[in-house]
Amino acid sequence: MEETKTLNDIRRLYPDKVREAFALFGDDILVTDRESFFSLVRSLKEKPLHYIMLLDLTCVDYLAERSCLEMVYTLFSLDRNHRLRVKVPLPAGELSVPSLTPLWKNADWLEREVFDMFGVCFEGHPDLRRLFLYEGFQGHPLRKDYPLRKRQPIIPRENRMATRLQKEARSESMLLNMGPSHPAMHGAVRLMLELEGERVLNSEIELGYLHRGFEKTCEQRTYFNLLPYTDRLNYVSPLINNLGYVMTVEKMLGLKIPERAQYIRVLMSELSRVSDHLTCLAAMAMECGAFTVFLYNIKAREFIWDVIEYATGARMTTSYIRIGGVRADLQPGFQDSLRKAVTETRKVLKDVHGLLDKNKIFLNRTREVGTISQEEALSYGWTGPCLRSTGVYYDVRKAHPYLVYDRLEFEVPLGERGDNYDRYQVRMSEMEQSLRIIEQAVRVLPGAPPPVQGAEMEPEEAIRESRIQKPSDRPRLSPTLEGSEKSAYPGILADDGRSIVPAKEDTYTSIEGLIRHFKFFMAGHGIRPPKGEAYFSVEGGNGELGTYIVSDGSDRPYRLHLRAPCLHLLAALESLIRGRFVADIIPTFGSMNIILGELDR
Amino acid sequence: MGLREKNSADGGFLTTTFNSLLGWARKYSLFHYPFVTACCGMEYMSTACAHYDIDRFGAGWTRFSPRQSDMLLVVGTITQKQARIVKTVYEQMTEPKWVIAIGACAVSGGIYDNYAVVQGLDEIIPVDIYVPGCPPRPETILDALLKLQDKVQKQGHEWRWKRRRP
Repeated sequence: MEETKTLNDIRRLYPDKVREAFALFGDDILVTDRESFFSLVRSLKEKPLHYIMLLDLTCVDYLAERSCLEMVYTLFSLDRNHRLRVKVPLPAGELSVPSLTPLWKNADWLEREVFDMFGVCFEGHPDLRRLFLYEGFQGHPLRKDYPLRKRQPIIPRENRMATRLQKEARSESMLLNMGPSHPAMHGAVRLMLELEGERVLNSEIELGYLHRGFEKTCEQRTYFNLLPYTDRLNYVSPLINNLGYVMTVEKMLGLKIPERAQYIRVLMSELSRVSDHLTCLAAMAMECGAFTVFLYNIKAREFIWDVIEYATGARMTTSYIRIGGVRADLQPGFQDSLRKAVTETRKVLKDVHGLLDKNKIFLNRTREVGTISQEEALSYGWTGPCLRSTGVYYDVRKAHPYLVYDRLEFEVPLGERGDNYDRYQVRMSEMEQSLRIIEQAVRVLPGAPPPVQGAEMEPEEAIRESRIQKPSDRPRLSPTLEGSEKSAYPGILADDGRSIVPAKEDTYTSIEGLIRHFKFFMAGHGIRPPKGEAYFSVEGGNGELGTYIVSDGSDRPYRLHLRAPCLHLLAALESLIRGRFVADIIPTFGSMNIILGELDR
Repeated sequence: MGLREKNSADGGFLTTTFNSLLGWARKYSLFHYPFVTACCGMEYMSTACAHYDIDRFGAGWTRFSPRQSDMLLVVGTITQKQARIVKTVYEQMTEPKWVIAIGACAVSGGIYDNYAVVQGLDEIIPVDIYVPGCPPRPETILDALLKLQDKVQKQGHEWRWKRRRP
């Protein structure tokens, strides 16, 4: 394993603190020990290296093999545009590590998550308790020794009003519970408020009402099987989730994706991004009282979903982007339906601009409300439109171009003040840019391979004929397989027999094809990335959507972790609403676009 | 009132006529409480908006207070942590009340068979209509509404004066 230049620099600067430094699948990794960990990270955060963001923090359980847990920190330097992974092994029996809360604000929740799921203690953490699961839950579910299906009795009565808040609240102030079942709480977030009249003195957020055990479940599924679970993370833009996961696996496998598939992926991601932003602004505007905007935006989203359905066969949970490419080629007539969706969306955007931009009520509720500074946003690990609304130029599509984004022309809209109004404006302009990308991508989309002409036969006939000779005609496929005929494969899937689903024509008619099919789907075979670990991120609707996969060489991930951009956004809410009115919570919460499926996982 | 004497005979002319009148009135004015937790909520939004427009079937009025609603739509995954809350919401609703479980997760736990997820809403509260799909398409949700309306129409309704005081 070779060392890159950055790793060399770090090793030279801090020779006694770095235990190991190596690059794996293009990611730079440092290994340190518990004693020097905190001081190393603190100096990495300072100049000259300036790793200013804590992108992610998670843990991997190696108790069975090496009798240790391993903490994994992902740092990011905006100046150097570089991601660095710092790993700290924790031997069994001493599962504690210094807390990073003095350095980064998002460390608070991330460490609570690890405490919840793995039982690691963080020295110096101000308020270490469970983040997703509830008090009274026994054990730590992401440990390997916790059985997947071990359900614990439902707690009969939940009367805990904010452990921390209740302790700290002044006796004369009022405590108010907002959520988890509240129209403005997007699903189920519980927000507890300490009020003095209308003013919020203090607040506390409780999560985990939609914790569905995504990461644990993925460890039990094969790489191919777990794709549908990624659809249901950020359910407003499922295709981007597919993409994030799939590209991480491809990074480990080193697959080369055909150009046509790459353009299709770009198309699908941008369509999803538009639908994501439309939904977010729809909900935000509705909660501020602008119900018309809600109806308009959902109308536009319907048109976009029609396009997605036309290409993928499903409206939301598509599982369309597959390891190695995409599931099916675009159908003839796709361009017309896309053109219609783009025109309709433009119309809606124009209407929404007209309705909201200078609307006094909307301005009063969003201008200078929920303002966050650049430093604070970075300290909370904000990414995506919310970070850009503060004026920080960071977009994964520009910073670490993936697919064919470097060949497409688009701008990254920036805000100035970082308030709710800027977040609204950034999202609106981003949709314009996405539509621009879509139009370009369609224009330069490489042509599909010509469809094979000739007769087709019924599958059973083809099977019968294949017993005696090679069938002269192609077997007729089910209509659900339209677009994924063997002739379309060169355009949409990588040329790698081991990691893509074998063409159905072969499976039906030749014994080799049948064997390949069995080997792909049989437990223990199928897609098996090499041993190691990789992190890859794409620009999701809310920001950097990262997937971290540890592979042990088998057909199931040893550990799969998702960096959910929402979690970092929501962590800042408590400080954004402190001292504001109750009514300010609604637009502030709305402008962040909290998607619980991704946040709670 | 003559009804008082008649009500002991279930199925008397007046009773059945009044029952079906009441059912007819109730089925077209279902106020619903959307208990939206997960992905299916997106399809619920589509159902409620212009393209599919649930209002055509007399259920356009969304109430976010359990006290004012008579149809509970449980849309999405119910986790172990959420279970207690959905039960509380159900208990707070006033009679008569109906429940629709929308989506595979609410029906049976769906693809999430693990430590965190309740395996079906009917482990917690009674359910009238189950809507399959992950997520169900808006048409399916509308179909479920029609089925519930059918049920409301046919069901024998409790009248206030029918109830005996203990």
